[in-house]
Amino acid sequence: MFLQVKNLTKHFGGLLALDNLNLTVSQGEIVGLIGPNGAGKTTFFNLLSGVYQPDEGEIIFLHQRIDRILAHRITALGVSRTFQNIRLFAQMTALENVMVGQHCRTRAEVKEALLRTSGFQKEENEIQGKAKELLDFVGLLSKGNELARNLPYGDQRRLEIARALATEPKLLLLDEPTAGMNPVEAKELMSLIKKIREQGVTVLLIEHQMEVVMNISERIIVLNYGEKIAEGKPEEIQQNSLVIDAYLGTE
Amino acid sequence: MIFIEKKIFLFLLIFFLLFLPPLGQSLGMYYTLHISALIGIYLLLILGLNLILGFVGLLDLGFIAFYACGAYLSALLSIRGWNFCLVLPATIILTVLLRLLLGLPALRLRGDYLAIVTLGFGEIMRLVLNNWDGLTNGPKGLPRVGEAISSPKFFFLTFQSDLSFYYLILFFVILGIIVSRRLDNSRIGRAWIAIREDELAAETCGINVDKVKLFAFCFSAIYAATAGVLYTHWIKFISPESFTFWESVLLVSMVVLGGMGSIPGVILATILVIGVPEFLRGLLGTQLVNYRMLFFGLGLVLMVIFRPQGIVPSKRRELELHPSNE
Ligand SMILES: Nc1ncnc2c1ncn2[C@@H]1O[C@H](COP(=O)(O)OP(=O)(O)O)[C@@H](O)[C@H]1O
Ligand SMILES: [Mg+2]
Repeated sequence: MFLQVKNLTKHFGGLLALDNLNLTVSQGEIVGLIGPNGAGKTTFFNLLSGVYQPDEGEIIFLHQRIDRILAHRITALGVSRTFQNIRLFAQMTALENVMVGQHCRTRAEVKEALLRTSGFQKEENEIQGKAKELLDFVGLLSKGNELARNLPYGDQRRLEIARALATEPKLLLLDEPTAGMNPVEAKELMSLIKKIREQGVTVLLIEHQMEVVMNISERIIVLNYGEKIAEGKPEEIQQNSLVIDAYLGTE
Repeated sequence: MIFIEKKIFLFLLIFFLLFLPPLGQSLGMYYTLHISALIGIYLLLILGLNLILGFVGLLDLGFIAFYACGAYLSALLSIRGWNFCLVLPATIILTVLLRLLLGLPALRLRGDYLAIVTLGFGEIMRLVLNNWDGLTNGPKGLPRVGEAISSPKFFFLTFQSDLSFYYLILFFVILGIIVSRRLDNSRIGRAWIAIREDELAAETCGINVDKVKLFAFCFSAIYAATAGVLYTHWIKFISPESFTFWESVLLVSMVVLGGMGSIPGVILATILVIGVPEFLRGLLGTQLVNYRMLFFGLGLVLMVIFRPQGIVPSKRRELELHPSNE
């Protein structure tokens, strides 16, 4: 199994943010994760990426427990993410942001940097070349030398995706990537996500725009108050009465 | 084109650095060399602090403690007859070890707490130097009567005069600048700046934030130790009053004034803050120069309000944007 989550539970003080979550993801899928605000979606990503440790349960990624491992080790194992509230390196250029993303796939240490060995130059060229490729892939190459903080919102979201891809993930976690985008940008992003999957990356996607998530997900998982209340194909989820209640009902 | 201009500029700069101070000296401005060498010592400190404060973004208010450590260790070794060529590496290693001992617990703390712990460490260092009479001779400083700190010797070269010391310090400053610049534009430097910008995002980019921070913290101590060793061997007398909290604050202010992480910026700030008042001392008389801290404070306040990014804001390197240029 590619990704397996067993009995995952997370409290914040008295609040049960994630309640005994079980799910699996197969390689090459695009899985949508939806649910009302505060349902625990971002918390789930934080546990997957090692930002928080779970109170109970297991996360098994490629036959390995990753729920007690530090975040940078998880990245090295092939899980990468973006953030709901964009977290770029604001004072670095777009290109440098993507170059930083390659940190765990490259090796030059201080000695090589100071002596400017031929190995260092070669690796540095490779890092730059790959960063440009990735910027091109998300459509930002011409803005490579701009500081991340000067980019418009939609560009920042795509830059964050490029940076995440630079870590060479097997599993990519996208937390509301279309938030703040207009419908045209959102549509472009959908085709971008499809292209990412075509390159063999499995995608887990938190998304608020129903049109987007129904369109590109093969499978959808619905959370409400930290619990999984439904799971299935987009058509099934649209018919599911529990889901309709969660979105329209009680609130 | 720009590349050639840069080369010419650099050439002129080095030419001036080599020949201007001795020229000033011979024209009767007696303190020119002394002040230039002093600026050099501060430049080493500032470049070191810039690595940790400017690049990694860690507010270190006790940096001077490691300058003191370098100065005192090298004095103690030199008094015992060690050769400069051994004193320098030995002092650097011991100072970095001390830095490691502080960094291991302190770097777990975030932001303001780290500032307070480093501040406290700086004070502890000063108190120890002041009170451990047996080792440091307390407030009376080192060397004791009858002891001496020897002048650096490299084979047949002996560094004794202000002029030779100026060149020795200049050598280390240029080395320090090259090291800083090369780190800046490398995988390691980028990781440092990424940590400054967003620690959590840096960690999820695969950077071992704790380890990288600790390394940078220790690495910056090499600059402080080198500055201390040079100061001791140049002035040949040290006492705790050269290493007060105020000095640490001055260093931090200079990095802020120059522009966090901007190598040209912090160099310019150092020359302005340390050099200009000293050079003007002769012109304006001691009276006015005594007010320099007032001007400095005023300048700092104005900077933070009107130009918070510093005199020369740090600028990221631009790269060619043709896709795949292998
Ligand atoms: N670091 C935290 N500390 C305290 N409470 C948190 C923290 N992170 C999330 N929560 C709470 O956990 C619940 C789930 O939040 P979150 O996972 O962000 O929801 P979603 O992403 O589905 O909107 C919310 O009630 C939120 O307030
Ligand atoms: Mg969320």
